[in-house]
Amino acid sequence: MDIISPSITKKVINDSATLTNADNALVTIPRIQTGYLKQFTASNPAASPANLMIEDEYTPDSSTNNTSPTLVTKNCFPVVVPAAAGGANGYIVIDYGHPLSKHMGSLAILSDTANVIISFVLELE
Amino acid sequence: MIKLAFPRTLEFPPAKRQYETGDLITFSNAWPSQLGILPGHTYKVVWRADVPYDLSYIIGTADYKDVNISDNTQNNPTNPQYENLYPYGTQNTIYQILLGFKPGNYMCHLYMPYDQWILGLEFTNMVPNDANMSNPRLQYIGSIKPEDSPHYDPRLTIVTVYNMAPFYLRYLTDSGVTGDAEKCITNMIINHCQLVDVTAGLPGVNPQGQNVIMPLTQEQKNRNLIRYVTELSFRTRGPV
Repeated sequence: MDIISPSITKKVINDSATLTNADNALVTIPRIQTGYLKQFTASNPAASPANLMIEDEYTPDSSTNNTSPTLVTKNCFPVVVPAAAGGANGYIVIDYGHPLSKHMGSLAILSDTANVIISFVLELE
Repeated sequence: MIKLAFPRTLEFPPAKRQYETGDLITFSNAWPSQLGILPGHTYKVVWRADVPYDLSYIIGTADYKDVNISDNTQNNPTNPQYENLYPYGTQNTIYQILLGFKPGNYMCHLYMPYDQWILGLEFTNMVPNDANMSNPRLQYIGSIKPEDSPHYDPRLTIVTVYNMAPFYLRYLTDSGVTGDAEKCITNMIINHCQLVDVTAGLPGVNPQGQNVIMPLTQEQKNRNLIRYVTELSFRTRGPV
C-alpha cells in the first residue's frame, strides 16, 4: 500500500424527516469532515405557516483559557414554510449557495409546527 | 526532523516525500543520544507501512489549541492531552508523519518542546510566542496555512523517534471566522518505518570478487539526512 496523496473524499448525504411540533431533526457531521448544506426543501401540510430554524451545534476545543467546553448553538437561519392552500402543501426550496455557514459538529432543524416534511442534501468533504 | 517543502516551483512529476523500503536515512550528530536511534548513524529502511490518522479540532474565533503529538506530558504545563504519535519502545522504528490540512481559516505553529518556537525571524518580536498569538499581524509569523500543505498534497513532514522531546502543533484561528469557530482538520499519513543500522557499511563485492562490507559513500550518508530541531531553528543556532 503506497499512499502518496490521500484522496479527496466527498460524500453526499441525502436525508429526510418528518418533524413533530417543537422537536428537531439532528444530523451529526463526522469529526473529520466539514460540510455544506447543498439543498433544503420543506413541505408544510398545516393551514398556517411553519417556522423552522436551521442551527449549527458544536463543542469547541480550546486551550487558551482552559475553560470546560460547552455546546454552542448558532441560530444559522430561520425558514418560513408557507401554509397549505388549495389542497397543496406549502413548499419551500433553498438551493446551494444560500449563506448557511460551514457546519461544525451537527445540524439541528427545529419546527414550531407538526408534520412538516423536510429533505436535505449535505455535501461533506 | 521537520521538512516543509513550500511550493516555490511547480513540481512534475511530484516529489517523493516518503521513505521507501531500501532507502538509507542518516541522523545528524546533533540528535540526543538517549533516543531510539543513534546520532550520526545511517539506517536502512527494511519495512514500512502507511497508517492514516486524522486530527480534528473545533476552535473558537481568535483562540488556539496546543496539540502534543508525543506520548508524554513533559514540559506540558497546561494541556495534558497527547496524541501518541511517537514510536513506542526500542524496536528501531521511526514515524515519518506527513501532515496535510483541510481548507479553513486557521493556521498551525510548530513548537518543540512546549512553547519553544521553531519558525521565527531575528528581531525580538518577530516570533510566534504566546504574546503574539493575539496580535492580528504577528500571529502569522512562522505560521503554516492549509494552502502551504494541503490535504491532497501534504508538504509538511515530521520525523518522530522514541523518547524524543514533545512536539507541539498549535492550531490558531484568527478573529472573525465564519460561524465564530473553525473546524481544523489535519489528514496525516504516518509512514511507519523499521530500520537496520548500516553505519558500518553495506554488503558488496570488492574488485577481487569477494563479498565484503563496503563503507558507505558520502552521497549515501547525505541522501536522506535528518537534522535535529536545534539545527533547524534559528532560535537555537549558535554563531558560525
